[in-house]
Amino acid sequence: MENVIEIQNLRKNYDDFTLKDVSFSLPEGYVMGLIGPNGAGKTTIIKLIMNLIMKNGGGIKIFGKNHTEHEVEIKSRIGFVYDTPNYYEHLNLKQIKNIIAPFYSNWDEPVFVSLVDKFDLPLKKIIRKFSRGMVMKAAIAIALSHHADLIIMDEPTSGLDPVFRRELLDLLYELLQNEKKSILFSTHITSDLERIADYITLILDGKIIFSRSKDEIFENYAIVKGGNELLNEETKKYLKGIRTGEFGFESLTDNLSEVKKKFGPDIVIDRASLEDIMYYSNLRNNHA
Amino acid sequence: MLDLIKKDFIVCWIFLLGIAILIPFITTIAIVAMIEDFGGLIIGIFTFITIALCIASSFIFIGVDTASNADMIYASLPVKRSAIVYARYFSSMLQVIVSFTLIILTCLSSVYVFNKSDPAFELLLSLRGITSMITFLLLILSFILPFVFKFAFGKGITAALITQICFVISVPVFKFLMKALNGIWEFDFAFFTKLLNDILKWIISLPRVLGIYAYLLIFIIVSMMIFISIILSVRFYNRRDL
Repeated sequence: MENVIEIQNLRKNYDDFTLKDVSFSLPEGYVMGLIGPNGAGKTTIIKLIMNLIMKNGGGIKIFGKNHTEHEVEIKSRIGFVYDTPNYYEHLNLKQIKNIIAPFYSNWDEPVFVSLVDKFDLPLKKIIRKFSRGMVMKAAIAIALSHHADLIIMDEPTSGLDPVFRRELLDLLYELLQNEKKSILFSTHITSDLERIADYITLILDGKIIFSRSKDEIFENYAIVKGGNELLNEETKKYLKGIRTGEFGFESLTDNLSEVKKKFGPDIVIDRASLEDIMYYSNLRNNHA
Repeated sequence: MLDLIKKDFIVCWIFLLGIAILIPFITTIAIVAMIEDFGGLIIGIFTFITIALCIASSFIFIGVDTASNADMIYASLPVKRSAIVYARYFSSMLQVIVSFTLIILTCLSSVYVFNKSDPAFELLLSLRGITSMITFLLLILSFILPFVFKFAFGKGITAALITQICFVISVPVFKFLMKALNGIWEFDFAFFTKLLNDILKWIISLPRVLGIYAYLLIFIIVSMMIFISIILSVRFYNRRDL
């Protein structure tokens, strides 16, 4: 299985933030969700992949090639959706399309027209009069109209209402069902990913916490609840972000099988959602 | 690159239309005001207005792109950043020349309307006048653009203006320093001043000495300056975080 994205020890330093030795890979044909709270470094990673900002260290390979040396070739195979698509607000969608289409040798006009129809987008209405959802749909239509092999989306659902978000994800899921496309999807709305992602990469404070398949995550991660008397130096090793209260503790584990062995039947185990994993991991990060 | 230049004109056509109306309008007002108040064109003021109009209009493309945060769009398309720089230079220079042409045409029609020949008009509309102005405008643009590619639009323009002001201020400061230091140091500043004056005089007399070759020399020098400016801009833009 070939990797579409391979990132090794990626570093980016800002005055107030550092992306620390980020490494992960996305195999061809899969969807990866890049999750983390606001300011964790998701957009920085995406900008580095797109060569919009310069890295301070590490390496990025897209389609097996160095992302700066083969920039034009690589970008012709990427469909990119920004968190806030920056289109000229005084132009209409047709004009925007006329500006962008000539840059892609494999631009497919019928695909664009069918997506515009499907998304119910007006071609002649100026972008300023579009709602945020419409702008996002327009960005997705443009990103999917040149047969991109890799779709990179930075927070495409943030700021959208739940109905619209669901609709957008359905459309995306439907569109990508029968194609061998890979998707890197960054979001802090983790419920979006539980439906469509194959791999999840969690980033906190510029550091990768894990990058694993979704199934593997849900097999190993769980919410553990029990009495405070069960907590000791030995058992705490298996727990992350322990919250204690009058009636007991609640925490996350990434080693469910060991936790079951160590604690026995005295604990309650609940399924951990991605949001739980993000929350408790962040808690550990903040209060360890 | 052609697609990038084309997009500049697609995106900005409405603003360019406005500029095409505004430039002759402002130029005519300036000419009429000067003729009525001073009885003729004040070449210094008119040159300043010409530079301001041409340079400001050439920044319409960068201005509109900055307002729309379009740098991100183009940098994520399959196009090299250097191509973005080349296209921007081409569009901006073309716009400078078009704006200047509009000013020249307005001057010509003013000569016709007022039926009055003015020495300033004669100088402006001569080959020497037109060449000098275009050269000067392109040099100003070449000076400002690397700053814009280094620091982005707002900061870049500010940095370029501050640098230009420093250049202008440096002349009287230099003169003052020379006067102040003469006599304190043993170095003969009078000789130094004379040498500088001689060099300047030699440069000014070049067109008379070289004739048509002077234009060729100017063309080569300006081309080199633009080339250096483009190289710097590409280097800056390639390293800039968007």
